[in-house]
Amino acid sequence: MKKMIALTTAAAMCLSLAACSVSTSSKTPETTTAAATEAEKKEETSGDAAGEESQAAETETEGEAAAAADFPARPLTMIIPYGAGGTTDTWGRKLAVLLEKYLGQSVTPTNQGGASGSIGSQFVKEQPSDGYTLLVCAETMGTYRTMNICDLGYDDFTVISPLVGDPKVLVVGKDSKYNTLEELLEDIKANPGKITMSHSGPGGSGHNQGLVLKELGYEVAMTSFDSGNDALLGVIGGQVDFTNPNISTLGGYIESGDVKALAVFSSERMEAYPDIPAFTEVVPESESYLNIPYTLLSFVVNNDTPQEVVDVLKAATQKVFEDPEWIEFVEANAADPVFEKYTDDASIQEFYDNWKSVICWLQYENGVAEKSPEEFGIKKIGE
Amino acid sequence: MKNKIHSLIVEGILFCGSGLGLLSYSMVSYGRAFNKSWAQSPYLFPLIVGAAMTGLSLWIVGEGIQAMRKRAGEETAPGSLPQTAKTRAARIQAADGQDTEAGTENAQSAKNGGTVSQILGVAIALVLCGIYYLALTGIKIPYVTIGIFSFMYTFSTFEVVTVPFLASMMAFMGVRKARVLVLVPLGTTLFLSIAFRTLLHVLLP
Amino acid sequence: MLEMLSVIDPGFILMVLAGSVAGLFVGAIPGLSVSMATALLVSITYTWEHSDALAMIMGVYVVGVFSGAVSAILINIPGAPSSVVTTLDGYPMSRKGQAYKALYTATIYSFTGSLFGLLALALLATPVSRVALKFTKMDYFLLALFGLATVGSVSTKNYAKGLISVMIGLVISMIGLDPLMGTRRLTFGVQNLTGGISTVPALVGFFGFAEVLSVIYNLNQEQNVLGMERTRISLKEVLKHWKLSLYTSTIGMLVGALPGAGGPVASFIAYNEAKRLVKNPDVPFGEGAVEGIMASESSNNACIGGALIPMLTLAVPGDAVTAIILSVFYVHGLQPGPMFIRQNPEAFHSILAAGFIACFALLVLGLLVAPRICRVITIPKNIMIPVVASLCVIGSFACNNRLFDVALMFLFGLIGFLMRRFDYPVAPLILAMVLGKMMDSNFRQAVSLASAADNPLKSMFWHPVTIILSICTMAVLLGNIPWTKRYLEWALGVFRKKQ
Repeated sequence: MKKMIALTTAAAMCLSLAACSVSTSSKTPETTTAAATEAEKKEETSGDAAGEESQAAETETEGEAAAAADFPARPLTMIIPYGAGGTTDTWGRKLAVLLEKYLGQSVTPTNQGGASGSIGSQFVKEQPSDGYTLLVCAETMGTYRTMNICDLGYDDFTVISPLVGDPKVLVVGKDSKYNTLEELLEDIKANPGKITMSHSGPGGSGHNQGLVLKELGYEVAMTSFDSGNDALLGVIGGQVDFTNPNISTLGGYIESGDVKALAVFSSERMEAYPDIPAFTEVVPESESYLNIPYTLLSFVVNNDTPQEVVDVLKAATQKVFEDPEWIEFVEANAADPVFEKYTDDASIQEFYDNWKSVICWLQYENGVAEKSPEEFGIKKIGE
Repeated sequence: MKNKIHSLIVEGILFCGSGLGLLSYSMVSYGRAFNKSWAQSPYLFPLIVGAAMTGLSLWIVGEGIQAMRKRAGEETAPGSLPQTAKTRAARIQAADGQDTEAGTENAQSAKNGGTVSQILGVAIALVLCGIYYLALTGIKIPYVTIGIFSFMYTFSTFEVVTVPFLASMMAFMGVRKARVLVLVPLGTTLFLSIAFRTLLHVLLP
Repeated sequence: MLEMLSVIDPGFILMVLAGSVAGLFVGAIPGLSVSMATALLVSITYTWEHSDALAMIMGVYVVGVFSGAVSAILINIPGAPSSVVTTLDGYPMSRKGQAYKALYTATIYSFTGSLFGLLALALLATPVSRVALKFTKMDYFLLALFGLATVGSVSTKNYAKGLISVMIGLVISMIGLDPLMGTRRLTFGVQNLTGGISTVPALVGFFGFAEVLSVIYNLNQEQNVLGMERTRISLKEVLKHWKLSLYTSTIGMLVGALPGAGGPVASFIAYNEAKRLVKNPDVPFGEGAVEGIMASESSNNACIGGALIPMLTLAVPGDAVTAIILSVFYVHGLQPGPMFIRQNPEAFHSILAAGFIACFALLVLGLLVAPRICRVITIPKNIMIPVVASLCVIGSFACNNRLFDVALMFLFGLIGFLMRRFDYPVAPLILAMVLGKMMDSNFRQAVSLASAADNPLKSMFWHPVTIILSICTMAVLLGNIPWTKRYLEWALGVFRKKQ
């Protein structure tokens, strides 16, 4: 109710003062509001820097001097490079709320979707490196260059922390003739290229998984759908034989009995669904591909952000990870807590190098990626 | 009028050109792309659209030829007013713009190019808008914020540029009262800027 | 259904009302879209109770969809793609001085349409979602194609010109990264085109700025101030189309329930149906027929209830606004899906209750505002048009915060103006632009899925829904092409004789 009253009074005030400002015709800058004004000014400039680069540059120099000492001094923006409602969005928003608690400034999540997340990422890269623009990116960041989507990679950003992995589950529709993973795999072997699989988009985690199947000798007909959920509905509607959604998308469909979950695409079972076998239990030779998370969210800022600022963000993020609300959210979503495993800089670096190497070579060798990973200095694993 | 090529034919040829352009664009791009399967190729859809467009343009050319023949036939029989589908359409359009009572001849001429002054008018308006756009991109005015009690009014390039733009557009369109020319642009700009920038937090240039 | 009374309290009602007023404002201003407003609300309402947040958003949604018609009728700029059809008859009406009557009709039928859609949501959510699941990729493509095939006949006397306009729209929609692979298409190396062309600059340019240029073009031949009829309108006369409105609302609800198609397709199909069924309107369609406004407004508002069905039961948003409502759910820890209505009845009831209250808010606001706001058209043109021009600039800038979009808007305005001069309708172009990406991806997915099958053609077309849609599309196409029309009529004649 309070919100309501505040809202109406605010509106009324604005209207009455609109008239007021016409008559007094400006020139009453109040000293008390000067600071707030300054902050607002900065926020606005950082908001639309795309169009006004010169101003952005101005705030950059201005900002850097003050940045280190009292970061964060004004509200932060978190760019989520995907549309509202997806996995990245859900986790990004959760992180934003909890960060707010530990940074003492508001963190506003903004969706800037499109082109596998490259548009939003590009936007963040163009912002001043003052730590006020945060980015929560998905695994596609590692493959932009080889996929020839844009010129960004993990090394353009400083990783504050990897967040979570979203386990992938292999599912078929409830009326499907397959009841176990073995049956499905046998049929794929018997009819190479005839069993259809839907995935969330080229270069995405679902597609990578199809490529792993191919590497293992199971050739399926892959079709790229609009999103993970769309791919799942294709299976439920009986148009596609199987798909591999993230567990967060799968939601109530296992409970409602619309799908049959055949396996977790990982080397271990999930805690929340102990009945679903791990893929490696059926196909042991897949171990080397499945020890990395396929859907991986990371929390990053521009790579030339001052170290002090990065430290502040890291400390706050660590506190978030210890927050009961976060822990509960991780459990409720059956997510893979990648953030627990890699906490120091060296292990984070190693983790991302390994990840890039596996995925980029996988894509390149299967003719999905356009450019050779070698061009970008990504070594093949084991070499 | 007699020997003039029907505008439909010109339009048809124009669209035929763009359709063929799109077709060749998708073929060439497909040839260059490294993913060689039509099923999921990004150029499949442009190819179909290009083909459809070329087909349609032929249809339009056909209609143009038909209309020309009809007109030629009607002009040999003097006295009968041309009542082709096209002139009827022109009439409806005339109702949109000018006096409905104006004869078909008038509507026809307005349709096929219009008078010089009309085209000039549009051109001037476009130039004005062009200057406005350039001013919006070119001029950078820092945010100026005025605080009155707890109410903050911020203005920037948009407000400064919009007032003269509105005034000049109005003057161009025939407003001659000085009072109106000053007060309306100021009031409108103030209203727009308060409504959008201050209340709705919409970013303005 | 009565359980939803439990969620209503004075605060809840106030929330809906506040949202409704905001929706009226946002929807009526060209360039500010309902989806923008809801996106803004997501961040504001983040910390609220989810019922309050939903109440406000439903208010914005229901009233916002209606108020797109206000600017469509008064200044010929549709507030959103779904109001494009309203301009076809609404604007001619207001030029004849019947702006009030047009707004009145729009209000009444938006109200009944919304009510119908929400009732369907309340009673038929699960069965309708099962129907939506039966639609294959090919069906979505055909549905869009069907919508596009009708527009050619809807808005011009020359079918070929309508189709050409559709093609131009499809070409515009192809600019940017393609929806499946992320390959750049038709960008010609321009970085700003990579993200594609948004609907708002196109809508504002093709309608708003083109209108500005047209008025300037006809400056000296036209009276500066439009007159206005002051007649009382009897409710009975407005309501006499109620039977047809039930039919168009059903179309709206069903099309709304199919994700991706949404309001624009629904209103075009409904308009086409109205045109087909009403043989002798008082005023011809396209020149100010109330039936046109009725069809468009009742169907696009019925879409609201429809679009919420797949959003709640399948977590698939039916349009841009439901996509944002979906994120509100996620933000508040609710997960839509097949179990949602059973597991979270109170959230479902909040949506319904808020929707119903918003319907009544729409009715009241519409009736209160219509007689006042329609005076806008009595403002002299030479003052109004410059203001509209600057509104166009704001609108096109605000959607992406790029000046590039403003330049695009000017360009589209010029193209739109030329198209009008040469008798090419703009409405099909907008529809094609909105649908282009969806058609492209669905078509390719259908082809790709079918190519793995033993008999590709059979797997693509041999489904009941696909067959029906193919026949409908073919019928509309053939029925409008002059050469084939004769044969089709002849074939129908033979068929009738046999019966």
